[in-house]
Amino acid sequence: MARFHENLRTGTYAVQDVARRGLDRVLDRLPAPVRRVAVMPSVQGLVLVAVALAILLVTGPLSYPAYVVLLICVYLISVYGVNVTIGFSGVLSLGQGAAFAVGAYVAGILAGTYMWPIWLTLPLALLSGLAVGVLVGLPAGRLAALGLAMLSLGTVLVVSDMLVALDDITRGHSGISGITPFLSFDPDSYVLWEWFVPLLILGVAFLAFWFHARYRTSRLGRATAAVRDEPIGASAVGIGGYITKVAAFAVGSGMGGLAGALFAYLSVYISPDAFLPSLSILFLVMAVLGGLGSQLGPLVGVIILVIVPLMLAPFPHVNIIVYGVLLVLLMRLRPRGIFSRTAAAADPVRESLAIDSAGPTVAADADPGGQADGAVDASGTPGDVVLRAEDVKRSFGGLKAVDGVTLEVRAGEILGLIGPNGSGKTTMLNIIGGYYRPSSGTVWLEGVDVSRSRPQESARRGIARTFQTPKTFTGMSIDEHIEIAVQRQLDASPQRVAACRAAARALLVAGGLNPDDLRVGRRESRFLGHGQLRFLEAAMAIARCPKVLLLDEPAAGLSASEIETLENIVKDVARAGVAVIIVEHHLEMVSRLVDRIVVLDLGRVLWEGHPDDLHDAEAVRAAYMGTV
Amino acid sequence: MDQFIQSILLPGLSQGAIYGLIAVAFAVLHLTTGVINFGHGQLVVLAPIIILLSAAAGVPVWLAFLLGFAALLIAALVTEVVAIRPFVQSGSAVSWILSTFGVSIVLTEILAIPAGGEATYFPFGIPSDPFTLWGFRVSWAELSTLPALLLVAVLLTVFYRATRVGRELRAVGEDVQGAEALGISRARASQITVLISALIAAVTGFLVASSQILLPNLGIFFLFYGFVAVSMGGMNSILGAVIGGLVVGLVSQATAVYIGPLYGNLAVFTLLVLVYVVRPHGLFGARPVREV
Amino acid sequence: MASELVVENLTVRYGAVVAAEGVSLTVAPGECVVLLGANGAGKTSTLHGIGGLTPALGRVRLGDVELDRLSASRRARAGLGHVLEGRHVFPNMTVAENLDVARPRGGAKPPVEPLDLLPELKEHLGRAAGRLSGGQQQMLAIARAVAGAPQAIMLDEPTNGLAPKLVARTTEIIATLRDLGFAVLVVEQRLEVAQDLAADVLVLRHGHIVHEVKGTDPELPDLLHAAYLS
Repeated sequence: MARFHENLRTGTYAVQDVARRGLDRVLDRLPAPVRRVAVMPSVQGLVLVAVALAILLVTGPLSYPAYVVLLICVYLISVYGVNVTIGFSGVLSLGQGAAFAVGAYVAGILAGTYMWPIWLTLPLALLSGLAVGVLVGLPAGRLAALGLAMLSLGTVLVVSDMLVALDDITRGHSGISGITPFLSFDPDSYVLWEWFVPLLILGVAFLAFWFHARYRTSRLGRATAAVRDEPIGASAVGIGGYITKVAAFAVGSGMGGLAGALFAYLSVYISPDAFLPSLSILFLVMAVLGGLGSQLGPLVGVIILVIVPLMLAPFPHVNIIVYGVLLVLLMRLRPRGIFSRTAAAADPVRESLAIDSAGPTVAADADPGGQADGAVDASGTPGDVVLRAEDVKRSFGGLKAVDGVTLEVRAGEILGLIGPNGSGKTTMLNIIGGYYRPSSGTVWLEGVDVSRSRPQESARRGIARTFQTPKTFTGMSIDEHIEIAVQRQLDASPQRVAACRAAARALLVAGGLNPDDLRVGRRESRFLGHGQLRFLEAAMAIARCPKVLLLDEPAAGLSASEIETLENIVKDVARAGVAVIIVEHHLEMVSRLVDRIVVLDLGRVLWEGHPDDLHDAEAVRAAYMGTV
Repeated sequence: MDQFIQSILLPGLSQGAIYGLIAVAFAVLHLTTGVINFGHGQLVVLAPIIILLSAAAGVPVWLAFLLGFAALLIAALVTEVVAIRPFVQSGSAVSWILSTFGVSIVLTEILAIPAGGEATYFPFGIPSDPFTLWGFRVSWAELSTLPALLLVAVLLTVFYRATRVGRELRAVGEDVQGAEALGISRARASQITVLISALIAAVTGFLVASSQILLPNLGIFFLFYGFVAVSMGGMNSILGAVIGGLVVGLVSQATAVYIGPLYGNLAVFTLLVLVYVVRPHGLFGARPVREV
Repeated sequence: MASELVVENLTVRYGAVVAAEGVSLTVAPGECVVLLGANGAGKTSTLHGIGGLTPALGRVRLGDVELDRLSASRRARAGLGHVLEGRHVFPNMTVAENLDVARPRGGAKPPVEPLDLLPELKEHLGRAAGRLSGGQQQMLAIARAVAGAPQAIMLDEPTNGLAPKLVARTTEIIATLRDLGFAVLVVEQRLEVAQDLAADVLVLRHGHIVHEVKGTDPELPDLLHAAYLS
């Protein structure tokens, strides 16, 4: 039974992957200029609009098929909004129907009752939807999925009530009629041309389609997807998550409000019965069915879920039952991956990591013996103290993970932090990075107290790190990873930037990811092996040109030659002035690489000194391996 | 003062006890499985509606009650297997939110087909004829909710503290891997917990049907109010759920009286926002330690 | 009580990554086997595979009961005790409650009472387990496993993060368990545990068993050095 499930689940992925690969293969066969044009969202959008327009031309703008097509377009705008909120940011909102209703009523009241012009009612409907999103998003942005889901559910209930309660303006159950487009405040300026509203709807649908794609490739959109895929990895490059979530809520609701307004103009008459909670459910299922987060998914979802119920119209409750069953099935079949994680276009790596000034080149077979006796090199001895932790303590309940650790690192220095399991090394690293607050003690970064900083703040001040399990972004391409990192590059001299970029390139090469190969760059990170992800994560960290680089067991799972390459790259990075702290178990690598070693045991510093003296320290040997 | 008691305190506590029962069911399910069943509201009204339909079809009342209870148990068990068990303590809230939500949608619509979506009156419950007690107009249906809540809460607290099964259920909620390594089955724990919440739903449904009119969208309303109550109290706390329910009941009743009946949802919504802003883990909840 | 733990050709995969492959071992009652290896060698994955916490291929047998199709909790009830890495005590339940929940429902009693084996827990019975120190939690975790009256006990890095005195105490307890007749399988990073127990040692490297020696073998430190550092 379990095997059947497994096959079913991987089967669903397989179909999607095959479809995508087939599409890619077709696109790759096209000559380059045609391909570039074919993937542009504006072009795709125009094609879809042209198809819709053709249907309208054939059947006439006021016919029933035309109504279906236009309804699909209106719902599409709303579902693209849902896709931004849920698909891009992972924020589960169950209340798109509320924004839709608010937008519809704003337009309905202004146009139907007060006869305001359409070029004013539509933007106002958009803004009102946006306002709903911001209002719910502000408290919701800090909450986990459950809290957000419930708050959004609450807005649906509240809005339903308000539509009836505020019947002075909403006319309650009688509804509002006569929602026609006016061109000015003059009541005689209404538009009689029957193509006006249809063309407007097609136009806005095109804009929504295009905007949705552009949002994803914008700096904010990429950050949003990063937070969704791996919030810890995102915070490590300086992306906080709160703003991305509130923005996603706001934008998604704004699109819902706009869609609602267009629905009002399309239907000419609205009443509270058109905006039941089941509408929110419909939008949700449309987005989930098609594949949350993808560009064409919403289109598939909307088309299926508008056409099918129309066919089931004689059996009114059956559609909604079908939605419910679909939701349950989808969750079972894709329990870990309802987000269709697709990468968006990005600057290719070779552009992101372009080195303008001539910098040092890193060769994978550089002489390993040259640096064996210390960190003194051409650019001088290690510089000022960059990071200092003073008497740091941290307990978890009754467990004293870190019990008074003091250490410091200088610019250009490589510090090795070793110790047996449970000695507190990773906790120490997490405290420096801002993931845990010390129970007592202080951490200074270039003289600034960062003990209470959140991870993204520490990252923005100059700390970069890798993790024991690479925290890369599953659905994003290598190009995107590097672009995110480079967009968040810290201030540094041109030489240092050049050195860091060269090191980042070298790391990608070491991982078998040729930075100059465009096709490699487009590959999504979920297809990479574990070792490759390590190198990608390290490349991201270094591409930011940090002041302090924290490496958490970088050698785990790497072969001997890969470790050697890694060592050389780390040495180059340190030579450029970066302070490096490396937590490792691989004692030989640590001895070769670092300038200084700090040994932790049971949360305290057991020993500190030069790597050559390590093997002579009996206490260390006894503590670390029982015996060596 | 008398007016306050009559129009706010009594109805507020009485209705609040219903919300408290829902919240207690949420707390019980959450403390073991980490899941909130979005379909619980539907489970509450399921039994009364089935009873009504059976009685209307000519079935004798005692059999109708049996059928209603059986339907409730079946629906609960199906929900558990399909929408809860795969996600016990899984950490991925989106999956179980959507899947229990999906089940709730299905149940709502299935119930709507025969019931026609209209309000219905339940004649087999606790008498709701008003009488005078110490100068106040009350009914047995109203008076019985709070004692029922307290009884359920006390029984459950004793169950979770003093019985072996109760402790096993708590253990699964504390550390599901550790529990499994000791021989405690996560599937069995999830099943037992859902059955407990179904029993609570049966009691709740009976009380609800006795004291108010059954409306089709009552389910989503109970879901929201019960959730606000359990969030206020702390997601895993039975005592917190009781207090939260009563507070929600009083607030919504006071709002209905002083501002207007359609503003109740808005007031409760505001309450939820306040909880999240001031104390997101609730009165008796613990702040979670993050794993990196 | 006389049941041996037999593992044949165990393979544990996480997606494309092979954590352990072809692992075979036998632990007889009254015997102690230590699985040594560096971080990432696959030790915990192996135990999780045997215990059923992770899906795995291969055969697992306890006495004459085939375990490989059973869920983790069924395996535990069949007599496979498992002390997890990181202890996994129930933090908001008292020590007494932690122990109570571990006892078999049928009333079977272990050959020694957990509190007799670990009397240092007696003064903490009413305390919430989350408030115990690391060492105390480790003791509780072992006591819990014993309370289940198992036939075999697996311990995953039991000396992790413990001070030397506690390491010695833990080793002493494991030796007692072995002498009481349990089949004991210990996963460790530290060599001294294996040496003190004079146990059979299997060295794990990149998911494969590469050496099989006696704990007292003088070659062992060098073999280990090579396995850890290449």
